[in-house]
Amino acid sequence: MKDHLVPLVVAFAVCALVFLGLDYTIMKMMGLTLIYQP
Amino acid sequence: MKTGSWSKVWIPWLLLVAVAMLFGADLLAPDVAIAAEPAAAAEAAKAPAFPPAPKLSAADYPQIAGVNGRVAVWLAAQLHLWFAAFVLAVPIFVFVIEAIGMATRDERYDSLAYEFIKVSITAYSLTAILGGLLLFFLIIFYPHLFQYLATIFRKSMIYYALLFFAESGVLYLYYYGWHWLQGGFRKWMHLTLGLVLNAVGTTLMFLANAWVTFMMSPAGVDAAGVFSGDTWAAIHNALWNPINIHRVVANVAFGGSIVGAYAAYRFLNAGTAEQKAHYDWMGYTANFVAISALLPLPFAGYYLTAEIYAYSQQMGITSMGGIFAWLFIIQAVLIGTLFLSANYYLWCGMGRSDGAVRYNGYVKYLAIVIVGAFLVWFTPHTLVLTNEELKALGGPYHKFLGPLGIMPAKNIAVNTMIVFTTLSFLMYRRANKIPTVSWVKAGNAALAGLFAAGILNILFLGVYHGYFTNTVYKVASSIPQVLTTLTIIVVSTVIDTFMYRGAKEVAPLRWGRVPDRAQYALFLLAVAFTWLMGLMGYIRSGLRQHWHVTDIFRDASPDAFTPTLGYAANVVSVGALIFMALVIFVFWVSQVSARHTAAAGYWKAEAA
Repeated sequence: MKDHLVPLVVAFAVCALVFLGLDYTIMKMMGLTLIYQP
Repeated sequence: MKTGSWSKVWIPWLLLVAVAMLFGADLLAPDVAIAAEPAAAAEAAKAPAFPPAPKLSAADYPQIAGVNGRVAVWLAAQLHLWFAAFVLAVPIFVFVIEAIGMATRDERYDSLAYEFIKVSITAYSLTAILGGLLLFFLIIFYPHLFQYLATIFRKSMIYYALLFFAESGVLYLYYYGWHWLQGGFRKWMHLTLGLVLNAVGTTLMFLANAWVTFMMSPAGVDAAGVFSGDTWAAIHNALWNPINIHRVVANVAFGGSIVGAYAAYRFLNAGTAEQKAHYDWMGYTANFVAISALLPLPFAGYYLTAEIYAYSQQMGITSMGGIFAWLFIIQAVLIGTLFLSANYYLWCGMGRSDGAVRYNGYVKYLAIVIVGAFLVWFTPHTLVLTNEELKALGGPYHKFLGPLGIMPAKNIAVNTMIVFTTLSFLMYRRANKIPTVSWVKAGNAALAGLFAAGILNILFLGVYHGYFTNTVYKVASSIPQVLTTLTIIVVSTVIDTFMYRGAKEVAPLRWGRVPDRAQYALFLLAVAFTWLMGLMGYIRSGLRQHWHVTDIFRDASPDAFTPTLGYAANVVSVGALIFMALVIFVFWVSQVSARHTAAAGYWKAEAA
């Protein structure tokens, strides 16, 4: 179980960070922020 | 020369003659008039070289034998476009399949590519005939519009006619030279012909797209419609490239679905197990082509719509927030049908593999998610209700379903459908294989992490930015959402390809071991694509409303109104039925061309 869980958690964390980085970059390129600022 | 060849020759001639008749010797003259007398020349230099857009009255539109000009042009244009889309798309993937055959030296690919192009060859003649019919109808029913467009695009129309000759020549060489140009350098020559055929065909489409998009977003003319003389400006108008991209991708998806229907037709008629196996493989390949193009298609559609909004907010709002909004609900149903039938075909196709039992249990979860996304995708924002229903509901919006009617929910739904269709593909690819690389566990973990994080990101962007921020954020967040989906598709395909390189097969794939109902999924795919193209084409054209050319050339015909959605849907449906009847004819002709009847006793016996 642990053999499967650890790589999965690591992969998920890495991918989540990459996607958040993508979101941040694209929004910044459009002059916006990832978290809404009214 | 075959009948089809004649039509390919006379229609470009007809186009040339039509333009020549309209302009006579002026055709070959420079765009700015040169007067003989110096004084007159100075005067002429001040005067505009081109006339403004005509101001017409209902009397300027010929009424002939009770025929409705708009419906006649509508059906001829739509039928021409369906066939043109098909015949332009098929050489694209025929070229790719032929190249795969050359790279792998597997002759089955070469035979498959030949069979694909054989299906399209009859359709070429129909495309040309319908193009001629459209030209006739335009000249008969809308002479002033045709003359105005020909004034601006006369040069590109000449090139169009010449390119038509070139395309016919290259096509006939490509098709009839297939078995002649085999092996070594000759095969390379043949592949090059395929490339040239695609280049010419695509250029033809781009030229025709310029005429269509000019009518929507005119450029190179002033407010009165006076042409500046800059043909490139008129061609390179605001919506030209978005339409070019959208049509290339959509044509491939559509072409794949039509040859998929051909394979299904042949599969159901197959008399032997070998034939069934062959047409099963052909149907699978066609479906693969159609889905590969279908996945990026919504993004091309979003780009086109965004550019329509950017060009004219009024036009954009008319399309998705105005009179055509309900057609987009039908569009959503049809796109959902495409995704469901494509996935269903893949799931049925897993029966070809003895190793698919490992994945069959997951299919129901994929189906639940895709059907759920489909339901959200076509939930309308504003319901059509009676007064009693409105009172009972307390307004036009349902408190739970209302929020699902806006774009953020649709974006989540369509991205989810695309991601889960990708997952279906991965499962299908894996069904008959056992990976042999040492990093299988890490690879699977990476894929699971990629899909899970990607789906959560799509949900985060759609829910948070879609419902808890303002419109600017809402629209902007759809871009990282699309990029997330594209990242999942590209990265998962790369990881999976490396992971299954050199993989063992569970057992030989049993082509032909697929239920008949899977073939009906292929038919559904073709019909849904056809209908969808017709309805969306009507919206694109209808956005001009009472203008021939938006804001500069008013439509003064008795038909200068937007018909009811029911009427429009009926016209498109009649067109789709005619198209399907012609497609069945094309399939039948392709089939009978291979049949030989032994007419014993009919021919005179040879002298001994």
